[in-house]
Amino acid sequence: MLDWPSIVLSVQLAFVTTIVLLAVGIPLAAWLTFTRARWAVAVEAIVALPLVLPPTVLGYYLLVALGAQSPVGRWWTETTGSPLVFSFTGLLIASILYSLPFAVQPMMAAFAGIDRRLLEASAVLGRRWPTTLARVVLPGARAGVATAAVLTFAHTIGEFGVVLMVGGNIPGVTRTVSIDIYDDVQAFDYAAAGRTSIALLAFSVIVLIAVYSLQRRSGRPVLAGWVK
Amino acid sequence: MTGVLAVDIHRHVVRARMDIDLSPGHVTVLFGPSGSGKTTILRAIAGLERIDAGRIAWDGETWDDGGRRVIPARARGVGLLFQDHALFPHMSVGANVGYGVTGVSREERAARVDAALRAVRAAHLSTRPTVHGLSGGEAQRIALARALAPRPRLLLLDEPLSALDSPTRLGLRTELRHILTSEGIPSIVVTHDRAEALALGDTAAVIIDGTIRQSGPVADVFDRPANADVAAVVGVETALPGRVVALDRGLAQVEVGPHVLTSVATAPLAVGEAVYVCVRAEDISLDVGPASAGASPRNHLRATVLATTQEGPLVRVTLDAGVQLVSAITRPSAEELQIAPGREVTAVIKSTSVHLIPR
Repeated sequence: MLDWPSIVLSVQLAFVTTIVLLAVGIPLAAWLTFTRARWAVAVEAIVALPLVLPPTVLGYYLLVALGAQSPVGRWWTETTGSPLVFSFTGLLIASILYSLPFAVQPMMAAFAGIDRRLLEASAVLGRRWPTTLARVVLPGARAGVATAAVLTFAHTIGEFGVVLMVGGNIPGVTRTVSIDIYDDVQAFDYAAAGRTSIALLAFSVIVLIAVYSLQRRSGRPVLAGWVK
Repeated sequence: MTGVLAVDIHRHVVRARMDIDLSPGHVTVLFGPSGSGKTTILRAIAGLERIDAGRIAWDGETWDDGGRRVIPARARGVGLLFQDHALFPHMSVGANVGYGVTGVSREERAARVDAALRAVRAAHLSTRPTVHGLSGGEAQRIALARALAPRPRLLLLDEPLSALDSPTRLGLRTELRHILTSEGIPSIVVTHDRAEALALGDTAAVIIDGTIRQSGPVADVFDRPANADVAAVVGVETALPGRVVALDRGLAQVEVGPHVLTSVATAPLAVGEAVYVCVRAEDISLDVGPASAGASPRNHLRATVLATTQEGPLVRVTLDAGVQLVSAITRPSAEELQIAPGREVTAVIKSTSVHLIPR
């Protein structure tokens, strides 16, 4: 039997993370792609940090930043009556930060492929930047946005280190599928771990096929060589 | 309402200062070789590039002062035609043309789109669901309609014809001049093509290495370069205003001053049409003695030598033939013909060497 509460939790977490990251990531990716500000490179580096940082390090800092002793954690506890860490909301914040590059980078690659003169044409025709983004940039970068959504979703499903650090292992609240597998192995229940693993393996293959067919249809390498 | 666009642009190597005439339908040409900075000037006027220093002002309204004062491109009310049109690839023809028309009702918007498409004679393309599959000339018409539809107060055209194949370019050139003047919007055209400059412009500014070296009525600039640098850039052709008086079997008779010249009509022409008559100095040969009458289709013009200048192996001879002509001949033939100021000669021009640019 698969551990359905863990699967449902993971899917919920991945879904909400993806929605939030598209809403935040589209303007951020557009700004990073088109800005002439020199300090944008620092922002870009920070966005990419989760790619190279060990998840436990990110998790540790989040635990410190969101924990009961921190100003944010204290404020949250006072406002809502429950702590931010070891909760779904805490997990969501961690997932958003951890998957940020997986949302932003494919969109940046796609946005960079848009002919700059189209943006200039839109500006000269009297349109503001949000209109240009919605009517010129996004329609030309649909494959990149779809890739970002798929990768964010998949990456969130599979995260482990950050989730364990920030969320702990509370069944139905913060126990995601990958923690479930770890638990099963710790309990020597290899059969259960195998069932969940094969489900995740199949899911991953389907995701990659989806990404590469999107890429092929757009005729442009939206992953631009950075996804292994 | 007539005013000027005062331009004083410092941007990288560009140091351009000029007042651009904003009379309705007036066409100013920025002419220069590629890399001379003319596109930078156009982009700075459009608001797509900031200037490092100087000022761009529309009748006292500062668009850019190189510092804090800047009006963004979207608020300048200019239309821009890109070299290779830059149409939105995912939109229909109608959506492209209507993109810049804002703040009006749906009906008004549709009416403006129709009017713009009619102005560029592309009404038959209005129902195309996509811009893919348009020919180069059609795409450029749609791009022009898109620039016209929001009713800009200034139209900027960056090498508007250079991306087109030769027959399309010739056809659209004359038509473009007509559209620009009849729409009543002042415009600035960037080009490196002298025929395009002559065909489209009322005034021209020659830009070399980022500075304006000569400006004035287009025929003056091209016919009387102020110095050797300008002459090298605008070419060594004579450009004389003329009028087509007869057309017969591919040959055009053109009245130029007191003369009627025969030319091979390469562009579509009509009797009575105003043209520029262009002849390269190398294509005007000189002869002494009486003009031999029957040797048509050669053109023979009696002329008096006004001046001569040595240019390497060539001698440049300025002639008065009722109109001013310049001939370039070799030094030995100049000696043989005893060319000197005051000498009476016959200028001989083959009809294939007389180029007509309609306007």
